Amino acid sequence: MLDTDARATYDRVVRAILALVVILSAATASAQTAFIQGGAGRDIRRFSGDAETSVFDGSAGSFTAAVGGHVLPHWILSAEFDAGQRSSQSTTTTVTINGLPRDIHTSYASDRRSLSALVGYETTARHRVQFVYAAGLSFTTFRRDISSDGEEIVLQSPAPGSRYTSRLSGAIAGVDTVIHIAPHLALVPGVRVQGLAIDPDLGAFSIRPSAAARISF
Amino acid sequence: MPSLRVRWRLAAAGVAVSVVLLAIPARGAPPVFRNAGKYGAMFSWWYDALPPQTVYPPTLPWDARDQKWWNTIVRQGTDAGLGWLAAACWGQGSSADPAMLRPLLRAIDANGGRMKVALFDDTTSEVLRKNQERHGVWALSPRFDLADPAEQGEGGFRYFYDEQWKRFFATVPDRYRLKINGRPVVIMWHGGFEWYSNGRAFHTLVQDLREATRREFQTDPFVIVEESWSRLDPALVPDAMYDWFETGKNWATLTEFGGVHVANIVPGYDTTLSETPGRVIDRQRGALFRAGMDAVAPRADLVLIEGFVNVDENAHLVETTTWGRLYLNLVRWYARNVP
Repeated sequence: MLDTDARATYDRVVRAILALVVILSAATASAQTAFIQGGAGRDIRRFSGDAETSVFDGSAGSFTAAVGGHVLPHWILSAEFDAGQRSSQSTTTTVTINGLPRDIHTSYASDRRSLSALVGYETTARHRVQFVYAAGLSFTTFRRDISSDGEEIVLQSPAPGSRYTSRLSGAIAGVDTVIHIAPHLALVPGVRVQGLAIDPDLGAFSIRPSAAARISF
Repeated sequence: MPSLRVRWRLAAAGVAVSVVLLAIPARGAPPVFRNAGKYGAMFSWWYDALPPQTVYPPTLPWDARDQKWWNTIVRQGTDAGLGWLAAACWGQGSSADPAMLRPLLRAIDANGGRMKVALFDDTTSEVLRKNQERHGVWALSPRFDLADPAEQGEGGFRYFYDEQWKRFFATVPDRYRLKINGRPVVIMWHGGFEWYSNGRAFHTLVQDLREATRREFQTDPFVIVEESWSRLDPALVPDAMYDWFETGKNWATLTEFGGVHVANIVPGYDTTLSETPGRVIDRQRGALFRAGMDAVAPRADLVLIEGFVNVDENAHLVETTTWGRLYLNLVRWYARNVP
């Protein structure tokens, strides 16, 4: 449940990022060179608080897609979509109910998807290798799914589970290594780092190493 | 090099994909909006010393005449991640008069100003106050007549409004109030058949209470009633309902009404030093509370915990010499991970 202020802020940020993406795309379209790329990697999520009791810490596969291009020599604008798959943990609580020990199992799963607008500085190519240092704004949907058989055991009612969706915005940064393997084809290993301010009491980092193939035009 | 047209098409495709991704709606859009976290706890303040029936003594000196007591309670509540406190009000002339809540507001300010307050109308109090005034006894008999707002017999609107709701809203300013959909929350306790007569008039009473509050304070209360009222008055349509725990039957409940899920949970309960036979819900070193929270927290929009300071019935969460900050840490864990 969001409060009304948070929702209004979220809407403003979404509109701002959408506008930025449109501007970026237009700039890319008139760029000296453009590229599209797609790849896969890992989404490593670490939350604030005690790591031993952080049920949403996890690591999952991810895939990325991006479009971008040069707007000036050495300067790249890009729009990236990145989706981290589901990770989950479960807890067990043993409790005595009516004299009988019962185990209550609760599953905590999460996934994330982000849309980012990035500005990157590209170094001069040396031995077909270039580095790109990028930073920008990211809009993220972070979902938490919680299900427990406790509702069946304690309340004797069905337990459909619950989903909490957080809409987040914030800074993102990363580094790419562009390895040119053909005139229009490059291999791009990289990493993205993003903070997720989910609640006033709950923050997280998403660290995403990945490898992508890039086609330039 | 591709033509400019090709590049524009690629860019347009990128924008289209972005817009579609952003436009995908979140599943299960929330029906209600709160101005605070969903976890709250019962709060009472009639203490000038630790009651003799307290089995698990708190670590702080137990004297509500001292502002330090209020400040420490709100600080512990904030540490636990509580978003709100339900002030258990017994009305004018009692030791839990809502007009006595100003120290709570000062304590909230002293602890960052984020904690909110809901009015918890202890509905035995109207019966007790009426009988004290009319019959000179602090007792639940004779019953309170809900169909008698004008005080022709055993009823009276003022026991609910003038002596309770009005004093809460006059004491607790708007910025301190827990709100759902912009409306301040009022929680009403049991509707006991043995305490109230003409229960079918309860929905009229609630309408009149809301109207009086609207007229005098320009705000429309969000009324959450205990489920027993719906059995006394089938015509009642509150904003939400909850089911108060019952020793020997349950310790955690979850009630859906009007699209709002309200949970009630108690960490433990022990009245062995105050009544015979005593009623006990064994805490099981926190396992009972964890199990109950696992059951009710994920789907709840509000979680009403009984209680934060209930040392009278040993149902408290505050730091004690027995369990330290165990329950504060447990609540904080759920507030963080099951929002």
